[in-house]
Amino acid sequence: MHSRARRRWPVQLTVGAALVGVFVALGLVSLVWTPYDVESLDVAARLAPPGTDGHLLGTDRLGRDVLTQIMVGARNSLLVAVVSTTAALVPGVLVGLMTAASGRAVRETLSRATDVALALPGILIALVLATALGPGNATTMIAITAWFVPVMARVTIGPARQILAREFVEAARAGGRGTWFILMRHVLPNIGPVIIVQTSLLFASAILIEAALSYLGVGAQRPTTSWGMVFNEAQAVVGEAPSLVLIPGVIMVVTVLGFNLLGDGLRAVLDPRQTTKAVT
Amino acid sequence: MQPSLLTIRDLTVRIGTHEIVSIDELDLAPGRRLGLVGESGSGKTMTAMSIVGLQPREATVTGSIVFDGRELVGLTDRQFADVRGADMGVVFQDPLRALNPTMRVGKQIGEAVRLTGDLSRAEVKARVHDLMAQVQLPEPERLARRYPHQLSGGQRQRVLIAMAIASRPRLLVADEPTTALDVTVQKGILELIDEVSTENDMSVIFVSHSLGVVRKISDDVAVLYGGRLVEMGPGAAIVDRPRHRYTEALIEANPDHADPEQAEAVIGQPLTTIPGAVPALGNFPSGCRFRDRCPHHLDECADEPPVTRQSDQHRYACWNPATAAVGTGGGSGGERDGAAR
Amino acid sequence: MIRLVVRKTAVLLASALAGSIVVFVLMRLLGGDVATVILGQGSTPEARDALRAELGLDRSWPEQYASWIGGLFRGDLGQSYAAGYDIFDEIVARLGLTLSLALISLAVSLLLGVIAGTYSALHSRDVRGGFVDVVAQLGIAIPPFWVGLLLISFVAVQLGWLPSGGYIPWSESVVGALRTLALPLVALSIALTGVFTRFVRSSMLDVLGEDYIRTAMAKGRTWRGAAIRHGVRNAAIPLVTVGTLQLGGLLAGTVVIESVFTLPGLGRMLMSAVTGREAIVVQSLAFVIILVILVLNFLLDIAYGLLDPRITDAEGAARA
Repeated sequence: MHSRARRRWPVQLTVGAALVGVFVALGLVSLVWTPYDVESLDVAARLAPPGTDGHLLGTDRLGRDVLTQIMVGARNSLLVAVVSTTAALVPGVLVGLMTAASGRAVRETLSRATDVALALPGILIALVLATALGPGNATTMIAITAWFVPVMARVTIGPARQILAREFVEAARAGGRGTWFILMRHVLPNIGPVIIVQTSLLFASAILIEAALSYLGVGAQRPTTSWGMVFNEAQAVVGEAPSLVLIPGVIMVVTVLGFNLLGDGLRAVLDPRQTTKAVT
Repeated sequence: MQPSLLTIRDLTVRIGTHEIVSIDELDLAPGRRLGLVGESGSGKTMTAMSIVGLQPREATVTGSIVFDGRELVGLTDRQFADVRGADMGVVFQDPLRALNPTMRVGKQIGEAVRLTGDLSRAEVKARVHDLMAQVQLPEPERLARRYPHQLSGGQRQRVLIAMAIASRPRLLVADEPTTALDVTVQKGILELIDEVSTENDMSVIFVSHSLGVVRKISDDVAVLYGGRLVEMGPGAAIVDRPRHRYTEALIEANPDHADPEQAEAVIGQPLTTIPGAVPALGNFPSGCRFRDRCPHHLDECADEPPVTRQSDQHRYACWNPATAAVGTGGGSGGERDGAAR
Repeated sequence: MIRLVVRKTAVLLASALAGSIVVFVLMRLLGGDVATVILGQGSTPEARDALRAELGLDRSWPEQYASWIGGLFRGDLGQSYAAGYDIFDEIVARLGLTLSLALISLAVSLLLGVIAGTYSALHSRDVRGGFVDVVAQLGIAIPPFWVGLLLISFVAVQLGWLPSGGYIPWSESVVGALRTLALPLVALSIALTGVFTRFVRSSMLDVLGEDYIRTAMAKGRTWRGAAIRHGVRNAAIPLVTVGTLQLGGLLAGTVVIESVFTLPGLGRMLMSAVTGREAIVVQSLAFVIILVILVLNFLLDIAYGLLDPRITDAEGAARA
């Protein structure tokens, strides 16, 4: 009964992939084309409402084109999400694999340590870093990476231990294979689904944290454009021009939703036994 | 003939397109005990559960189940819940899973008591202790404050029995109540069910895979195969003089199970299977569902077998029944030995 | 139960100790030279040395750590050199607001999550259950600061129903406090409620297949009655664990939300300290925020023990 229901192509996957596709396209297209130059100010058309001729989504209080800001902001979100998630992936998975393969005492200690690290809010790490390094995209990426490493380790430990307990691993061990060989050759491919699903969910987290940090002013700084910055600047005129908050926000929410749905859909397809536990 | 407490006609239970149970006729008189016997997958538990309205939610029940003059098929959730609360008790197979792990057992018994009517706190408490005494749970005051995981398997089953008899129901359904228990406590639980049902004058439906146990505790035995009732009659007649070839095969494959003297020794063991496997759901042959595993099958078996009434109580549905004279241990012919193994 | 509390208290203290060391070391490694930040690049080395001596920064790390922790107990964490306030007093004055935000939104989200998740599970076969699930999924994707901005724009500025910022302490006026906290709490609770709703739904769907639901029906309860009476509590137990995983995010959200609504809590204090690069203030604040997370974690652990008798017993058995 279950297998039949699960083998169906999940709706979330299609919807999620489509939303993520739009986001990635926005960011990539901005590299070669945007409606206006990011820094161009159309002073005559300040606070133009959405639908104004020449400014599809309107302009902000300095007369910058909102669609342009969103596209360039998407590029920055994409950059931060890709860099920080990728940077956390390898060390996180390695720590997770090592923890799973260790003896009881080491394993318990490392598990506890990742739990403690998980309890720290990513934004707090970023703020502490910003005190030292100053604000900027680099600070954001380092902070997000630092926070994602234990998350990645945490989701790897459980499934890796399950695989290590299986017969074919016993067989490989009996065949004289070393721990690293077994981890790389047998465990890693089998926990691939868990890692892929978690990566998708972490993308969503990274986008949210990046936006929050740049909103607070400790993330990206001008001339870089980021979504959070757009909100920060819109707050002063939120009474007159709510669309400056609304429109970029909807795009951000839809993007985050897209990655979450993609993760759920991938989990349904790749990991029907649901060994993945989302930790975000 | 005395009036029936339970009258079942043309009962079917379906899940999706699969017909799990299809029973043409089954009656239970007040105060009598009926054993439902069959291999796993025979539909015996599903039959019992549909009588008390506890079949899985995705199952659909059609036909007629008249209980104490009231039609049960088609009742709303609320109406059926009221019938169960007042007149039915159920003892389940796995007492640990059947009890709420986060509620003290006294409270769980108290819930059953409260659902039988408007009682004050003190009355509920007194009744809980009274019930615990009835099921021979020692120190009710202390035990009532325990959680299920703090009790032994036998104690848990006694708690379940206490809950089942809280309303002094007219019908007690026991679904393999000893299967999940240690062999050493099985006997006590069987005796307790025997005792409380006699004291409270309850009818009992006893679901079991053990012919000996059923014969010992029940007046009547109904044998199920593939969701169909293949033979039904007084326990002694069924076990000693089976007519249906399936009943016969079941007994011959499990001589220990059929022997009431050895019943207690084997209740924990599963039935030895008859040669050939029970087909998967939906893969039963037409006509007699047993025919492709039956060494005595005839061409007619492809047609629906007729119901033969051996006597008022004893009936079976078989084209080529075993001869009425054959008994266990009797000097039966070589054909039986050949068929048995 | 007492054993559980003792054990969890020990865990709390050990975690707090570990947290304080991590924060201290991080700030020493990354915090930069405090004297240079205060006096500026143009200051003389002698002036910087003198300031370091005054602040105790010329001593060894263990000495500095000990005096920091000692100060925490004595109520003396030094002063902000930029704003001049006493750090300890300022933290105490602002703690109530941040705690209110975190505690209330946690409680509200847990409650709403249990209700919505249970509803969704009980209607999992029809449109209603699916609808709740979709809304919850959407809610998870909504960041608190964006909801905050929208609420300010529509509810506060355009409709004028509630203030767009500022805080009236509980001690002054309970109604005033509720009015000023209402929008921030809504903003903080939406995503959290979404997470809890989805979790309760799936946990409840598991519980509905349990035998004890059928047992309760056998006693005379309807399916729905059995599910609510026996299902909710059992489905809520694992929610406590999920709740602890959300605490970090909750406190992070609180920090951001205080900026959105210009609320004078620890988050705003932290933001101005970060902007002013006041390492000494950031160090103490970061630790206090971690402490809040650890205490909430401790409370949830105790709640877990209260909800599930098997945990309390396992604790007892492990110690015996």
